Amino acid sequence: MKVLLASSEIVPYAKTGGLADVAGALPKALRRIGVEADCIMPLYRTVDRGQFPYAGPGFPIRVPLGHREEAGTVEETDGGDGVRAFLIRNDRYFDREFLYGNKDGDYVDNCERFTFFCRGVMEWILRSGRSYDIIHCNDWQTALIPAYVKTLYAAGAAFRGMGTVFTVHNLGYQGLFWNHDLPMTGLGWDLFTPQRLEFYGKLNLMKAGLVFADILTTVSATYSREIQTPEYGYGLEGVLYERREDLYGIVNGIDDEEWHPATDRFIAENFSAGDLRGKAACRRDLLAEFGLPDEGVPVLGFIGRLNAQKGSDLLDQIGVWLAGQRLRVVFLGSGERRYEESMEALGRKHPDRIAIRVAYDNALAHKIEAGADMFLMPSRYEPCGLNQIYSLKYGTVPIVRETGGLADTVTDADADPAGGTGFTFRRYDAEDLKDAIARALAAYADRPRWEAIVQRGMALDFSWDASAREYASLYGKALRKRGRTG
Amino acid sequence: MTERADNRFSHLARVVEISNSNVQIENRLKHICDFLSRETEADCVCIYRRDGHGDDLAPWVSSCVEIEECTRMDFVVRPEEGIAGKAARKRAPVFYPDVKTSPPSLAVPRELREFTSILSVPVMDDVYLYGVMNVSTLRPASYSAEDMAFLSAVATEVAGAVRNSRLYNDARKRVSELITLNEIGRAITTTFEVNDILGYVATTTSRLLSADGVTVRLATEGRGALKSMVDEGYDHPVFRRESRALGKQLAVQIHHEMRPLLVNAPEDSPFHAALARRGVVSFLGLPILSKGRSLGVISYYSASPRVRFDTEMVHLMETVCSQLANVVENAIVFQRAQRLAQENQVKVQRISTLYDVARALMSTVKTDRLLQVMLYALVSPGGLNFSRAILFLLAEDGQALVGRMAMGPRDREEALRGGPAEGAPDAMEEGVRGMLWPGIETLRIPLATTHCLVARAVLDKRAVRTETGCGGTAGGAVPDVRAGFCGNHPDSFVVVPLVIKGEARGAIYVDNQFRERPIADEDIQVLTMFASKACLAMENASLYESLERALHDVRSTQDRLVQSEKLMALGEMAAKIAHEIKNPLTVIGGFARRIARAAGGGASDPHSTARYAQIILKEVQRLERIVQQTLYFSREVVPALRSVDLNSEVRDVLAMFREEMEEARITTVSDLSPAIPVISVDPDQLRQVLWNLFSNAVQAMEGSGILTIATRPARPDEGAGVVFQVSDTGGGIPHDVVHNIFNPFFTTKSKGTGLGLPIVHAIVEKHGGTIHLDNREGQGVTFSVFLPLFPKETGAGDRILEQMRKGGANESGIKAHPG
Repeated sequence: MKVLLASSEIVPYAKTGGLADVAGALPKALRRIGVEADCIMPLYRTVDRGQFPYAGPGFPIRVPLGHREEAGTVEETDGGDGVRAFLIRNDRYFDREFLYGNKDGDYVDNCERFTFFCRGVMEWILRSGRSYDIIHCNDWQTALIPAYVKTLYAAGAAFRGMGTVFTVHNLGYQGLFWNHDLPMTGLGWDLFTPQRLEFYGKLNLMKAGLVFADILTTVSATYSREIQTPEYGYGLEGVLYERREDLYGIVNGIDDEEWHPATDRFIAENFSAGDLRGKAACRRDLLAEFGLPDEGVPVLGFIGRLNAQKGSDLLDQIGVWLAGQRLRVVFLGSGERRYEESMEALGRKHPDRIAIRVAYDNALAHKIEAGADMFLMPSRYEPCGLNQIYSLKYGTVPIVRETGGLADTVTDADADPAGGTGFTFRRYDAEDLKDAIARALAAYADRPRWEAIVQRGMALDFSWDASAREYASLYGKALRKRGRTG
Repeated sequence: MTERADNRFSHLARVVEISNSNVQIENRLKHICDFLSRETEADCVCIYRRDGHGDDLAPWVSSCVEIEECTRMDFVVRPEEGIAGKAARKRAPVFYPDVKTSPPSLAVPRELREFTSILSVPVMDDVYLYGVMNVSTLRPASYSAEDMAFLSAVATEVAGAVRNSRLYNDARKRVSELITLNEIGRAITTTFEVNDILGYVATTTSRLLSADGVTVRLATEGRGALKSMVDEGYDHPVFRRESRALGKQLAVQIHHEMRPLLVNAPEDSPFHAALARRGVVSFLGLPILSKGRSLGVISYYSASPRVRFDTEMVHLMETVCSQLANVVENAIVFQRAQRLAQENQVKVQRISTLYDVARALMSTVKTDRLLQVMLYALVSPGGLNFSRAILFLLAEDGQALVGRMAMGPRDREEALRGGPAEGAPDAMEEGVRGMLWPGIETLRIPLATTHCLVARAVLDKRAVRTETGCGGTAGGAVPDVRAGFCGNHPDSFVVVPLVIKGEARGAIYVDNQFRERPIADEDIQVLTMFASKACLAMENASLYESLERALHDVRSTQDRLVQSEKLMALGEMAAKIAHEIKNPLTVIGGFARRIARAAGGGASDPHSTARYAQIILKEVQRLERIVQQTLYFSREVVPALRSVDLNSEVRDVLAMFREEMEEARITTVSDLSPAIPVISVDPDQLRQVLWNLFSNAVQAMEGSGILTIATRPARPDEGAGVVFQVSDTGGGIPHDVVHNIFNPFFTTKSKGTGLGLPIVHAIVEKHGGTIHLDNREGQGVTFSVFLPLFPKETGAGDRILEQMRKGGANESGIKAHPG
């Protein structure tokens, strides 16, 4: 089976968020389990030609955009681990400082840029004679591809029987554009209906993927169910509910080389499930870093953007209560001004108990995951979430809200004494969050029980290989839907 | 504003940088507002946009709220209102240092909010005002001349950004419209189906215009009323129903004035208020003009305040409408041509129906069957297609008309259930019988009933047609003929007398009850012609019936004779069978006794025992053959018909004789015609015929000889079929026995059963064929066999009825096309 993964960002070429990590790791993991996977991405200015050489000028393509044609080339470079990376080049669109927009906002021609990319992928496959069994698309930037496979390019031999998989990483960004951008995509106005591409008078590119792809996935099973409800669906719950039979959830894997307590370069001392002595050193190092005295009470960590999605309003509400517990609290994150300010105020008020660092700091993030005893994620919604998985691997017991990927990766130790790996609460409510933290503190006091919870968490497998196998089985499903055997 | 003169240059530079950034205009304006608010310590910087359709100012972006929130604010500042309105009217900055103590005239509370000082700077270039920028502070503020110059420069920069963004969006929109127009142009040339085209154009253009609803109405031919062809986009049922009537009024106006109508404001149309009440914010209607007349109207509605149609859209849609006009015009011409063709077809069909009916009537001579065919022809959709038909015949005494037979629905329920059955011929046959009314003979009309038009038609020997009923019609609320004919038939009907040899023998009554189709003059002509054919056929039938009665008498006498002859033949046959089986039985008995003796005496010779057994077996086989062939005569073997190629059967059977003929030094000559048609026969029986003829010939030519087999298509005088001939050189049959060869058990040979040729004869006859013998004494014999293409002819009448049934399906097929 040959798979082409199309994404607007891929590690190590370009990254603004978690999508790039997935798009970088998944093709390699697929190769390891025997699926021939390549990836394709726009050639941005950020792609370092010194590090990733390509011959250039690559395969020429001409891409129809409404009334005109835009030329481009497709460069090929070695993506490592046998993965070939194809880069669609058009300097007018992609030779810019940023991927999607500058600090003032999104680029005004984003619809045109990513229409060019999607149709460029189609033209390249059509003209270059390459063939893939599956195209795996990600988020709105590549969402037109499944629509093209089923409509404009349906007659092409390369696309007959080709399966399409569309993964939603972030439903919050849907690629909403002016209805007058529709003719540029080459799709007819007959598709501009609320059942297809229209969204309250606008063109919604993500819907192209949701409507036309054979298989839909999102990054956790719980999230895949949640987005079928108005609370999480961003107005697309209807479309997603329609497609519920084809909608799956696969939790992202984590990068074992970057995040492993036994090999982590950022932490004071390495440790493992068999030998946890190093974790105590990490904890001392962490408290020192934040200037907190070590008095033998548990350390609670938080890493993440300070906004409503990550539950900052709940943190705000329990701040005073938190300061009164037998706890040390460390916050790392930045985001909305009001939350930053209230957190900083809390830290100033209780300098020996609560510390906050308003920043994005990768090294410090490693130190918190390794040195804290408990990790807090009270997210309002969380498609997948990675920090709770890092916490499990680093023996740091997660306290999470039962939503999205958090619900799928953490089991409550009170509800399931034999299998619990953390503490969870269901309602988005300060009292319930307090209750979960209080239960964690009670468990911490019972050392053998705490050790068992830590050990169970560290034993879980969150490797990419496990996720890749699930994706591979969905590729088979997509092919069967297209009348082919996987 | 605090003194930060040094910073003004760098601030302006930042504003220029933001305003030239390659992002959405709202993002840029929002950043400028945020930046200004931060740097000038204003509590709110807000930009109002000038409404595209007038001079009203609506909130656009503000440093206080998010972009989406700001555009959702539903208030406007009119010219001269509040502070922004005054700045817009004056085209110059307006400053109110303390609105709390001296507010502006026509104050707009949502502009003032809780602020103290408000400065309004118009956002304009040297020609056009794009909006107004308000800088508001909670505390009292003052602005120096430099501050004012700085803010005016910012406002000018903003104006430039807005202008560029408008140009950019206009260009994109124009391209989008062009592409769509191009698509429409291509799409409408692909089909003649005007409904498809209208649907496509309506949907596409309504989406292009962001309209919420679209209706297309076309003028109907003749009266010129507008008929709704496409109507979509009204989700709310009340909105839909109410706006229909209003939309129709507007459409009629546009249709007559032949001018587009754009309604955005009360002054545009007296209907504005009515539209607004139904939630219509903007209305656009255009006539579809061709050669100086309006073919119809296309109208668009917007229920969203964001979408107001404008004159640009009017021009765009005029282009679409002129394309559409061509298409509609073409479609109308095409439809007219189609209708003409249809009318012709109906006429042709009528004539051929009459012909078919005449043939069907002539195809049968049984009166009941004939009458059924007649009535069926009257009510069948492929026939004269009346709703109901009743046949009256004169009673024996000649004083009254009595119902003989009737067909068609008796009440509405039956009419709904449908007319003559479709399907297989027997199903149709069943259907015809099912349509007959039982108890029809109770309908009785005394000829003396003077007001009765049926009686009148018979007495006057003249067809009668009425639309107003007869004197006895009770008004016919729900006429049910079952309650008696008079007073229960509809007002509209036709009666045609049946005149045979100058005498009226009865009448046919037809009507179109439960149908919308009126009885036309043409129908009466056809019906009259039909009646004369029917009279002829009835006359034939009655003649035939009397002939048949005579024939029947002759036949029964003959049958009795044949019966006694058959008994004689049976006796003769029994004697022959007894003779035939006596020989083998004697042989079997003899050898069986020998075996028994040998077994009893112990001196058994295995070799001779085997030989005896062999002989017994052979004789038993012979007995079996005799029994089998005898059986053939005693039971009726129905041929199982298949399409068969005679030549290949001949070759197959001939192959079975190859060895035998080589041994007997017989040469074979075949002359098989390649033009032989496929025939319908029982292949097993055909092979038996061939086998018997060949075996007969081979046995006749003991020693040596020539077997000739020839096939050919039958000559026209022989009938449709095939002929094959088998000749031998076996010296022929002595002339004194030749007449016996087809009799069972006659044989001249030692080996034969005497049943071969009689079986051949029987099979050929059963297939409707003939067999001839050409006997040349001293030379040889030629058997000629004729087989028809089909063993049995099906009745002509059934086939014609079947054709009529198919004709009915044809006609309903025509009706399916919209006229």
